[in-house]
Amino acid sequence: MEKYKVIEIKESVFENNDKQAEKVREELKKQGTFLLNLMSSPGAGKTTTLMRTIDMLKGGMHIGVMEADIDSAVDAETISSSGARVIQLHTGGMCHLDAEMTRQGLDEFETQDLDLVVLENVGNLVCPAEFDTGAAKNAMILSVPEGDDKPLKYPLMFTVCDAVLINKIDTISVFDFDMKKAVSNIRLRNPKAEIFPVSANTGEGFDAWTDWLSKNVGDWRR
Amino acid sequence: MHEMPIVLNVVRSMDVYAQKNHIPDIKVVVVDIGEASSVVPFFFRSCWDPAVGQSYHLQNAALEINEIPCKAKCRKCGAEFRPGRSDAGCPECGYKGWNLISGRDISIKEILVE
Repeated sequence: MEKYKVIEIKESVFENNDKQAEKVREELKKQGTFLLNLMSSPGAGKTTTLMRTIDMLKGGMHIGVMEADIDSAVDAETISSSGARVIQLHTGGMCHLDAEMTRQGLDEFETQDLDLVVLENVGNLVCPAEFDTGAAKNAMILSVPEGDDKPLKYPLMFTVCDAVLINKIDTISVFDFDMKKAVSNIRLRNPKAEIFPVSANTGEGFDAWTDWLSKNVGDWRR
Repeated sequence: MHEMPIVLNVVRSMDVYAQKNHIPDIKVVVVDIGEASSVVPFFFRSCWDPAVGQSYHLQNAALEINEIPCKAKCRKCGAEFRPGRSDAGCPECGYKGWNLISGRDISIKEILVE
């Protein structure tokens, strides 16, 4: 039987991406641009939430949005009506963004004069959580119709987020959604995440969310 | 669902390693796949042959997969255990709040060469 020599490698497959993500973060810090990675399942309300967020913050900061989808420019067209600068990234069928794709998007975008860039990630509760995009903070949106058990079914997504918005609270009477249970389920996986019950439709809860975001952008730029 | 880019990444990374270290032929690549990672070992394996077919130094490389179990640490009592599901309770105190301390990663453990 052939004898082979063993060479220890011990290299994470995420190592390259993690290094790239750190570089992106360092460069954006030097430049004073805060990158927020916004994730959720399709239809949870990322774009609507972004529109209201931009409307509330644009008076005090320059905002850009990078839209990531598998196909179409639907979201980019919607966001561009808000007055924020926007670019549409197509992922070529990939189910998530990684640091390299984020860098390519940022290079194309020219972000030097932007205070806040939001990366609207691909609608997916699984894969985007795996890959560090180089963002300063991660946020995700859980919507009431999806159910209060999602933090148990998709634990990684809730573990990696700094903020969780519980959207569509204006519909809570119509769905079987227990807010206390949802918050408790989130806390089991992530005791530190900020939780914001909101309605992107009515604006309820948006003051707390935009205050948090604004404070984080300010801290980043100091 | 994204096993292919990860497999390609592994193969490319080892191709570069082989080139830099003057290894003409890698015989075996051993990969550790964490139980809680997003990669399914079966699908990872099915991407291997097409991926090494595109390499220089891994054309004949076999793949060995070690499936690494998860380890969690209870935030209440500090006990370490293997959680069966994300809503599992600590076997010592029953508390459901725990942090995963290993089992999420996918890494190239070692390679075998002549």
